[in-house]
Amino acid sequence: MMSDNLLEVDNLGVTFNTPEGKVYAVSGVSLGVSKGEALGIVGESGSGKSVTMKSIMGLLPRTAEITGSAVFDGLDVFDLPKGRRKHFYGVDIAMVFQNPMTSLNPVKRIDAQLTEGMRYHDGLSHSAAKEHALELLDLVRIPDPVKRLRQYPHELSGGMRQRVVIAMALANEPALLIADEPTTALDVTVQRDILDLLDDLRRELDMALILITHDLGVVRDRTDTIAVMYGGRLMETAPTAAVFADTAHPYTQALQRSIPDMSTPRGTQLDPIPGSPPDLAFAPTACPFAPRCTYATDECASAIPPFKSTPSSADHSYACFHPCGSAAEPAASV
Amino acid sequence: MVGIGNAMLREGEALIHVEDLVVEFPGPRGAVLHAVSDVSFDVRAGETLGIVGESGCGKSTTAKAVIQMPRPTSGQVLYRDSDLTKLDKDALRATRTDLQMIFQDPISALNPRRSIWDIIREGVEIWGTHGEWGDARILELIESVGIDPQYKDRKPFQFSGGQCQRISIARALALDPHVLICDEPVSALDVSVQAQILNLLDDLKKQHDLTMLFISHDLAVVRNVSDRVMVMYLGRVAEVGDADSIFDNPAHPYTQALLAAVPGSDIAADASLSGELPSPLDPPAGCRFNTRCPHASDICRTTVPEFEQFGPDHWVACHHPQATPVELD
Amino acid sequence: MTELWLPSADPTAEDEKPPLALWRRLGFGFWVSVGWVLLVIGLALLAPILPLEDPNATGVGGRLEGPRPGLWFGADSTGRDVFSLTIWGARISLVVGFIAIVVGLLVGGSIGILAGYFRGLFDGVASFAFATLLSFPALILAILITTLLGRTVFWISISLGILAIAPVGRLARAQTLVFAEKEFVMAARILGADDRRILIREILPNVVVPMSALALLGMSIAIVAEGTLAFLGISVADGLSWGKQIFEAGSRATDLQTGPHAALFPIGVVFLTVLSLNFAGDRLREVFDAKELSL
Repeated sequence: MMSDNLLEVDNLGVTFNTPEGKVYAVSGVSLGVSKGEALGIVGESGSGKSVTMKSIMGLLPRTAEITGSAVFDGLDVFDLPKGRRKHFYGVDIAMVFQNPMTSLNPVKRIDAQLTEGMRYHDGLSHSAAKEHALELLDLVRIPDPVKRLRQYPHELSGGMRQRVVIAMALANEPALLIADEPTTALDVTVQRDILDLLDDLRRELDMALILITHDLGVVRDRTDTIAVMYGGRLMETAPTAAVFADTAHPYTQALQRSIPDMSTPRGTQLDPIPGSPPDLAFAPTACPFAPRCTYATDECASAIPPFKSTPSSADHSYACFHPCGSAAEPAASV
Repeated sequence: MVGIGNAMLREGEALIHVEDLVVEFPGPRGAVLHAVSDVSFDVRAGETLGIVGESGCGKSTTAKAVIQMPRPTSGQVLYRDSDLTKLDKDALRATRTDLQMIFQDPISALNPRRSIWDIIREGVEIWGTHGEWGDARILELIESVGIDPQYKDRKPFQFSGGQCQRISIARALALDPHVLICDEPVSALDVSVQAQILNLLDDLKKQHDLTMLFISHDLAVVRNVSDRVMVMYLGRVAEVGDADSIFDNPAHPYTQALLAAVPGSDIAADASLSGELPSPLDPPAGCRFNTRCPHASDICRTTVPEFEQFGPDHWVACHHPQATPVELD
Repeated sequence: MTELWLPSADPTAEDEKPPLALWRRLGFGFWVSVGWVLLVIGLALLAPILPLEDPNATGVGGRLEGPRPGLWFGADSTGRDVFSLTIWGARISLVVGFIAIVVGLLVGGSIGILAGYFRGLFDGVASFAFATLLSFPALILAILITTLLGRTVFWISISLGILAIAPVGRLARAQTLVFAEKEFVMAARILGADDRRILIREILPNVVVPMSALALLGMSIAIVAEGTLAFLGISVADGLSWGKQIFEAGSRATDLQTGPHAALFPIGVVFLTVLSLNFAGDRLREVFDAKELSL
């Protein structure tokens, strides 16, 4: 990975201590995002994709044990100097969550919610903050922003609320925006608009974007790089096109095959992934996907596959003993 | 969209025949929430009807009104020869066992305090249909949905979401129903598990000769499972007919917008929707889609469009349909 | 179908860590609390056959004599054995607490569940009744009932039970509202279950756990309330109770100064018992709520 990354996560591990025992939520995750880049993190619930980002945002409960490192613009995120913290989250990195309603205070008007952060972080005057709020609503393409500022969240539709949440996140022009399933709670017709908006904003503001989703289709046309996670581990990272054209990891492949798309003829038997998502109550000793993988051998159940590059591209890496696609060939020749 | 008329009701035997279904709920301050307005459709035995639309379009309410949960405000729901809306409580209780339902949230669909054996046996327990309904058959049923019968005494929380959905399906099938209503059955499941459940439903449909109402906002999933599709918007039907005909040749601007929103869709983005979904407390006059339709004209704002035939099995309620009708003999 | 089911990938398969047994999840403190309450109940039940001094016998010890072997809690101002008094007093105090909460559970619980399930007019009437009961000064109500109907164990229990109806009923109603909305209730109805069956099989098992936690709490409140009545001199006319014992031992300042043990020992026992009931109730609720969240 390039060292001039804006955010560099190295060998991240997160374990939770619960009354039921330890939960190994994330292990051995290394990621990087450079300035202005769009990274998609794809995974199911329990894959560790949200926990990874929450650890960077300092949003994990105290019971979480974090190992490894995360460096943002030369700054150790897990050991922020006192006083820097206040001017880090929401300023350098901002986050947008799945449900816009829980990100907004239901009893406060939009203008109050938007200007609060600006006045706190930047000490803007009331009128200057208001002016900035208007610009922001304009930026996220909310029609009639003057009227919207005086409304309460419940008076807005789901899509409009998510736009307001995005506007709040952009208030300090963060260098990195993390969007955690930003469209999952929205209707399909609105989903595309919000994703297009995020894409446009990234280019306009030259901002890095991490898009977390369970839906490969969402990140397909909108990211430079995709990281696929499963069972708390990274399965594959690659330039977006390569993930689809030259899939290396059997999980990524199975995920694509199991989902019907609009070109699948009616009544086609789908190619499901057997079994259930893994139990994270064990310290990882094997490939988490091994029990569900059609290519799995004894090796997969006894050792953690190392993360390595495909022969075709140094940017395309995977963690698998029996990869598919072009990665499979050299292995066969050995 | 949002059309009226019963032109789309087909001749011949229908297992479920719904006519002019209206469901209204009391809204705040004496207002009326128009959840479902003048919806008519029919489903033949063995058919799967997919119902699609955004949240709030009334797709779920329509399906629940079929099984009288709650009873519709007006309209007819014929199942075989009986009008479910006219049945008294006990007759409905008995008839309804033939129409079962599975739900979106597999967790809240199962009572957390009961074992899955109790949950699946509930129907048999209520109707006392033992003998051929004996425990062996229930065990077989548990196995047929892909749950190991040795776990039958466990509680729902000991299973994953996908497994809970399987248990829910087994419960619905225990009384040998003819109709299965699936309300977003895979939306709450992990991506890697969705295909398992879809395949399972397909297998069971064949084995048990099921007729299905399949509600989903995921068009790709609906396309995969449905013979026919009904597109709903704000409580009314926009377009209904053969699934391939509707997906390959969508005529209603709303159907086109829905298809355009599918990730990776090649339909032009200008078909995407502008504006906000109007409130079902005060739906627009005329065609209910007129406030967001790129093709709306004066007539759309005053007159509710009637259904017109667009293909051999393809009906559209629109004043300005956006595709060329298939020649009919 | 079956080919999809792979035992090895099944989270319920053998290689899974066994879920922590319920008794372990409830924790050490819970079992200490339960142990204490059981000890008190056991001693109270066995009082007649235990080698105890007659609690009414005066002059067993000296006036306000301190604790010593054989007279573990010392003697009160008339020389009665405080240990024996405490154990005999537990009989009435526990019975009062128990009956009171059973009345609250049966009456309040059933009204609350029915109101939450059927809604409509019945719910309106029930909710109004609960609100009325809650706004009526509790002590006045208890005084009213006991003075009108007599200061027997039965009527004191009933009057305290009536006070428990509203809080228990409101909790039962709120819980029922939550569960009646769940899809498993709808599923049961589609299968043909009638209201009675749904109430008993689907709703009740889910409402019982939070209610039993509240019941333990309510019992401790009733025990304290009996003490309050005793201080006003309107607890049981005949017989012994903790409240009465503490009242008698503590009513004269000079007695309290020279022999505080006569009041402090029963107070300690009441304190530990109430604390244990509270703690056990809280733990029970926590463990079951957490389990529900993980569903």
